[in-house]
Amino acid sequence: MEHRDPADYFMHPKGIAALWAGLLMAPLAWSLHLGIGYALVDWLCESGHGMIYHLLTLATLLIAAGGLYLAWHSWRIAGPQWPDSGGDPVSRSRFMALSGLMLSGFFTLVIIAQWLPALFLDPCAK
Amino acid sequence: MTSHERIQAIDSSEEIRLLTEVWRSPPGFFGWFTHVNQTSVGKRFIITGFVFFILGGVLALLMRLQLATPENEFLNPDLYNQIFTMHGITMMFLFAVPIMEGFAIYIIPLMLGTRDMSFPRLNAFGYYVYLIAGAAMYLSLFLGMAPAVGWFAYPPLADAKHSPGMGVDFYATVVTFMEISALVAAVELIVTIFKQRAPGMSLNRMPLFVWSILVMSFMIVFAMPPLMVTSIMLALDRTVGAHFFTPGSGDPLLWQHLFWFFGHPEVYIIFVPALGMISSIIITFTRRPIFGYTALVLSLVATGFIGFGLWVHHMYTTGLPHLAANFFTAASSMIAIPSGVQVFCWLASLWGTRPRFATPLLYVLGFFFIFVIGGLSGVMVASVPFDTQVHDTYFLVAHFHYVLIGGAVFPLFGGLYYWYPKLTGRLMSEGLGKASFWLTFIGFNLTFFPMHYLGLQGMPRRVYTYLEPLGWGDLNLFVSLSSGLLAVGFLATFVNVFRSLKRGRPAGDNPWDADSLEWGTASPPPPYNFRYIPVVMGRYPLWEHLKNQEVPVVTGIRSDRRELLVTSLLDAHPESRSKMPGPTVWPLLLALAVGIGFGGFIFHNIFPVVGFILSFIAIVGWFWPRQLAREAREESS
Repeated sequence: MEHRDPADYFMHPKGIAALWAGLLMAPLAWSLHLGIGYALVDWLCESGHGMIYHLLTLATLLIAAGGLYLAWHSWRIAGPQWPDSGGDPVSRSRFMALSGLMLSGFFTLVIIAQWLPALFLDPCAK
Repeated sequence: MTSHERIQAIDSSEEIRLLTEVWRSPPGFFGWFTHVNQTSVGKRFIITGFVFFILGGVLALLMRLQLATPENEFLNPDLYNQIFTMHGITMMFLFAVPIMEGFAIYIIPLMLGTRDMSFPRLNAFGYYVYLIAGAAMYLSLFLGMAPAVGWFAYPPLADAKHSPGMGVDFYATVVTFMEISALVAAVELIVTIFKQRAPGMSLNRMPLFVWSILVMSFMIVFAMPPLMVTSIMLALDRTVGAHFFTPGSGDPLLWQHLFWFFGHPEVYIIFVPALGMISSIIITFTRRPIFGYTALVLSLVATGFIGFGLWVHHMYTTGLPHLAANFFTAASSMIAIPSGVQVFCWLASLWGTRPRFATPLLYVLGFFFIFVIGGLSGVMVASVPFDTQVHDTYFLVAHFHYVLIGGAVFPLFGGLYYWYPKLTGRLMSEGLGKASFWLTFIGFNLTFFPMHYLGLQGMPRRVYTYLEPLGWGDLNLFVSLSSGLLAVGFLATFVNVFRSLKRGRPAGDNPWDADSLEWGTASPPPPYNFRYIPVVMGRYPLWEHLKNQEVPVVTGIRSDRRELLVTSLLDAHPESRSKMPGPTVWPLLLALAVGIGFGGFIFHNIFPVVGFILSFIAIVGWFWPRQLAREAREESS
């Protein structure tokens, strides 16, 4: 990777913002998927526009993928190894980046799990 | 020689005297009301929490006495309803959350290597609010005015038409008031954890208990406001005829949504700190680093997020669309993944070691057994068809007691045995501790496991009695007798607590050879916690200190006033020094003023205005810059 000193990068706002975004974007995407999807169910039933829910899923998966990418990118810069307990900014950043990577993967799975019922269930069924 | 003893040996007695003088809490009866140190406030939370635990336990025993035989007339239906409501309110609002916060308030600053919480006066204010709210709830019970609608208070049962009297008014206003306490503690804990860690304690070195308290605190910040809003709406429905929850003009389901948006995260607010306690205990008693630190942190964080996506699984039988309900089935099933990861990490940590089977570890092992059963029945009720069958039956009572007692109370008791030496300077009796554990463990399983069967047989929750031909009598009698055994188990620990205060073996600084910083100071800690703020060299700081000849410490913190070191959020680099306030009575006066405003609202609409004016006066007193003026005078002279 073309990157300058990782310690320097992760001490400055851009690197720190990438770490936080990698950690938080996928959980945020999941909460949007659940909140908006749940609020939409009655409307999906009345309008018959079931496709909207699939689009919502796609949009939130893209946000989660964005988080995943940022976390992966940070991890690559920090040195793609399992985090250690070092007290320097690179060790801390590797820990945050790998955490973001795993959280993003997990919440991507949860979004998919929440999308699956829409393939089988009618929004009007009670 | 421990690092604390080394520091004591090289230190000047004059410096120690100065620090003690500056940080000490005023003695005497009136002085008691001015304490703001985190060790004082934390201990009060813990003691008050256990008092409410005992009261809630007595209520549970009364319920079991009533249910021991069919068609029993020991309690009348209304009193039974008041008692089961107060049992729920006590255990959820007055015991579980405050006591977890109490342990956090006491332990976290010590674990972080700092001298106090970030907002000591707010800390004291939170305690007084909690105490006043708890006392008010129990006053309502003793006056026969307690709510009788369950701790969840569903409208329309809880509206003015169906629940006349003041019980639900008490509930709605006191719950709102009480959650102020939880919120202020959460805010302080977040700031303390983010900004007061000892230098070197970067995020990836934070103890797992600290991570768990951080997650709990963020959950409180997001979960409590919906409860406060909805209980105010209920109070307005009842007092001024608003119709938020009236069928037709409003919607009773709105209450359920708002309540459970708080209520389900509440379960995790109680459970997550217990996970941190388990990790601390396992590290200490296996004497080796935890397996999967990163995975454990991630599991805590993932649980904290997903805990907010499960609330509708309490509402599967309310007629929601199947599609909507299944979103929550998905999320409810997925939360088993982080929970499972944690259990496997702990098992891997124990694997191949020769742990010391002291009482704290026994409680952790008891947790594994009970919580796994509770977790499995949780996955069962996450499924809509199964939940529909067992909804509002004793199966649910069994499930959530397995989760809450197994998941939170067992680790909490483990934590009590673990940290008691730090709080008091003495060890609890191991013999009595082990006896207490086995009585509690056996009593718990004999009490709650048969409830699964009663539920599958169709016995509904919240009934004050049942008819003899239904055939539930024998099992209910067995459950009631077993609950006595469970109570004896808990009682043995409380006897142990009192007995060990004077007769316990002196603990020394670090009786367990533990790794985290709270064990690096005296037991009980001096008022200033640490003579020198330590510098952290690894994830297990005291074990790292043992390896080194020299223990680095921070210098430059003033001893002649209450001063803390402020460090950066990610890396805990020293940033600045912060002057802390000293003892004062204003937090108590403000809590009383706010209490008058909230409590008086039950009786007359003028009281919120009175409370507002009194609060204003108290806040002015609180913030009056008398110390700044004094310091300016001293500097000019």
